[in-house]
Amino acid sequence: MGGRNLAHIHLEDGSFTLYWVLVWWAIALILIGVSLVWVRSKKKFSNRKITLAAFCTAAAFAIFQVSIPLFGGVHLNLTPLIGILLGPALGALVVLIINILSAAIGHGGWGMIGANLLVNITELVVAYGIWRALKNLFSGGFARAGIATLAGLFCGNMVMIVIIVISGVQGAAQTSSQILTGLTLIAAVNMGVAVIEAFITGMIIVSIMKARPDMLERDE
Amino acid sequence: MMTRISPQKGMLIFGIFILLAGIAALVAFQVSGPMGIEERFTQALGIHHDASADSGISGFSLEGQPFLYVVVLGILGIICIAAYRHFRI
Repeated sequence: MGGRNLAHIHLEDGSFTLYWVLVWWAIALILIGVSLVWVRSKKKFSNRKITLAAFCTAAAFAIFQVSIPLFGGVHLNLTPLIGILLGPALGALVVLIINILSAAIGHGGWGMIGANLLVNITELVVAYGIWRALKNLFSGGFARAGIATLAGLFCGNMVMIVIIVISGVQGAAQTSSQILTGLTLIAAVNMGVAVIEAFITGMIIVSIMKARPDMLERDE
Repeated sequence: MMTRISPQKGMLIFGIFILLAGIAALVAFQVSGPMGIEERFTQALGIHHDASADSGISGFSLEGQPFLYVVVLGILGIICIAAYRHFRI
């Protein structure tokens, strides 16, 4: 990680103006609020689901901090896996906790949590949506989970680009087109990591389908 | 009625996506060169570390200030406890 505090959007506090920090935080809080309402609307959550959410939080928080020496140093997310296992509402609460814990130990600025939440929520919502949409189309779990993961991380990268381009970055010396080109290159490199994550997610899902298929059942 | 895709065909489709993503990543890596993710961001945006450390009037300057981190974490903790008690989550 080096000595700098960086986030999923690998920019420091002060990169966005206070206005945009508040805008992204506000949108993220609205989504978190919707998730909370949904969670509260369910009369009862099974202990299994709560335990799974806790496990996902711990695992994803840990994996956020582990730098993989590929493409110059990257980290996995596990957000698509969280989306597949927990769904969008519970998943959004999990990524909120992960981002807050990460910021608390210096992995990411506080001001970037809102923007990073939007990226992470996009990843898990898209992955969950694709996973569900392919249910009646794919008979195997590995490819289904892998495609859902790739799609989720791809859309997360797109949201990251949109957020940065809209917000602008204080002290940036590049023109908008140069920034867009640079961010597109970052997104493309990130897709290399998404390939690894797709395989890992696919393997985890296949293992769960064999050992504990009940964990993938939706309690709706 | 929708026809289900066999695991073999599913893997083939997945493989095509993997191939496309892999090629895009390798091309981007070749174009941008070997560097860490932080350097990629700073280079893409044309940010100089020294300049960004000085966050300006409207930016945050929490970076590297443990006291402010503790304050913010404390506030968030209080909000969480209040929300937990109020909503009985």
